[in-house]
Amino acid sequence: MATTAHSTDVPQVKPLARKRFRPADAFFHWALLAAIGIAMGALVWLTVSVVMKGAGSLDLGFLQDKASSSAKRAGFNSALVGSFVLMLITMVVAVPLGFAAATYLEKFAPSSRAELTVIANRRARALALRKEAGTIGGAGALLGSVSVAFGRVWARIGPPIVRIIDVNISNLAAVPSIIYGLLGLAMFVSIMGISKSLLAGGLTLAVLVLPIIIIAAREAIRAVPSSIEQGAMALGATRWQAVRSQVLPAALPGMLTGTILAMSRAIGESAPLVVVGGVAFATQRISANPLSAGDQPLVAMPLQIFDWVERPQQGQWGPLAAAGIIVLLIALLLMNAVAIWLRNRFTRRW
Amino acid sequence: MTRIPRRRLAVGCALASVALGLTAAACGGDDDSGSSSDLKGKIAIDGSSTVAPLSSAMAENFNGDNPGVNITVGTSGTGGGFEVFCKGETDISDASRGIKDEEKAACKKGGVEYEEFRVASDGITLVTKKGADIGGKPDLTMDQLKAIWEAKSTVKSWSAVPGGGFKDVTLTLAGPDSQSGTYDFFNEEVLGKDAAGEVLSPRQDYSASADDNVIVRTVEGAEGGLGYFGFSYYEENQDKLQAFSVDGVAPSAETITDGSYPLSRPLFIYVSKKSLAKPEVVAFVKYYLENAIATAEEQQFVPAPEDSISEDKTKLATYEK
Repeated sequence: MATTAHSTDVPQVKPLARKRFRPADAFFHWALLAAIGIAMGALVWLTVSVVMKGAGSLDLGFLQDKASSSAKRAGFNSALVGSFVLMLITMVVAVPLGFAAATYLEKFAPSSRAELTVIANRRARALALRKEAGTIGGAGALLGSVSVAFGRVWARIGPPIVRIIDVNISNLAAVPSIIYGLLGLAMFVSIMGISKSLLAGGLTLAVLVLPIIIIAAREAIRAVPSSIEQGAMALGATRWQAVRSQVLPAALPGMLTGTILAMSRAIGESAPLVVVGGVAFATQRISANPLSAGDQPLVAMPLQIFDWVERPQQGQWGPLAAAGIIVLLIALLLMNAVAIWLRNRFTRRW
Repeated sequence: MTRIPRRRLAVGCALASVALGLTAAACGGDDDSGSSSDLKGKIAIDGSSTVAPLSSAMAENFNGDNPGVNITVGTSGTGGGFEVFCKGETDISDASRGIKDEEKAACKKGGVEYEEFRVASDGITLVTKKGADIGGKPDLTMDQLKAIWEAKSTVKSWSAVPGGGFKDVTLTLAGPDSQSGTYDFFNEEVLGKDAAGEVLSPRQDYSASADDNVIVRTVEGAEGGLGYFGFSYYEENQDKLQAFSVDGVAPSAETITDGSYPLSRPLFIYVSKKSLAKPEVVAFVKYYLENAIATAEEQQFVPAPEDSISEDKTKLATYEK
């Protein structure tokens, strides 16, 4: 945020003569440290135990071999490629929709009835003037009247609709993921007739992350100072030109960071995938080509890990599950690293 | 101006996709070549996670001989499997219990007719921690089990188990959750049905889990634990767990296959008759039955008795062309 300088009128704060020992302060300090310690300790313990258990099984063969019912031959390739295709579909669907929705809601959505009424009245006056001058007639005049009428109706119903959408997007981000699974099953499989495949799974995950992406993108757009946009418009740019060439480029790092964090959530989801027909085992090698996702079985890393963890012969399958968890963790870390890199690299300050 | 150079942005976007891409570095590689049969098609299997490892092994081996047939195995649980099976969405449903009346009705409604094939056996095994100091003999009768698990049960300590002669050690119960076929089977066998023919519900104050390995760990960690799950989970954890015999019969591969262990149960696959019209499905089920005993042993299942398998083979023969 922009900090404006008015240092001259800020009164100097007198430092305390000496620091007194306050038990409550000290207690709070240590309590906070302990909270961090517990969280980090659990994380470190989990990571170390998983790495110790799984590192031995993690090799190139593990990444290249497809799923198998024999622990010796079983690999993670099906799950890995499955998750990759899922993420690709999710990103391709959710990012354009999410960014567009966020841009509209932040920059173009009507905020008040008064504002819209003013615009509609102005249009009506302009139309009347042109009719009087005879520069418009017939179909053009009719179209103009329709547009004015629509403007007046929109002034009434627009703002409440936008408010409803606004509240709902925030709520949707908190809906349990299994609900999205049911939604995906109903919408993509039952109504649209897509087979229970990677495609259906990817679309379901896209719907799941859409609200998260929209919220993150809106935050990023809002963080761009309005003076930038106003400056562009003062120089003669239209609203859209100002948004497209000034606001969006400046907001993009934040939008991309939010997107990758949303994708990190999607890659670990298993519940919605189970509902839309996720399978634990498929004989075929999964194709990494997203265009054929419509007839590829729905396999993914979390599903494969759960299948391995659940089996009775943990002596054989446990290390494989741990190795799978390591791969999933590495994928997550890479995605988060990119998010941090994007933020640091492209962030602008004014 | 605050515009970010296009090239830099492109680099950023490319890196984002690389992060995703790297994790799938080992894509590619083509299907195993060499076709020894011209069968083609897809077979969708779903259902019990207990039966899934056997079906997966069958699918993998069958696919080795018939690379044109792609098979998927889901693990929605016995009930979840029947739900999609009766809508006609799957060809085969794995089941760790027989089909229930309401599921039969659902299949009828969905226009799905089916054949039942027994492919292996299992015995619900009751266990406690090995070396747990609960006194008495490691044997429970069906009546005692009912007294422990029924809904109105007030048994909180081993000493309260009627006629058990156990010590006063707190009883910690663990078992599968209600999605599981094991849960259904145990309740039907141990608790029985009410006047209306509904299977009675067990007590609710036990730790329920969908993952049997969690039950293993719960029982292992409790001094007076009692849990139940499929035999293979006991077999795998024999060093840590002590099994109870039921009505004097200890669970073992022999007593489970021949059915003398009271809580032994058959494991089934249900095959839709519509799917049995497809040659690849008939070939797969035939392969399944022919290899049921060998693969069951390899996958550490208790095999089905030979006579039931040969009966099923005869049943299947009517669908072969």
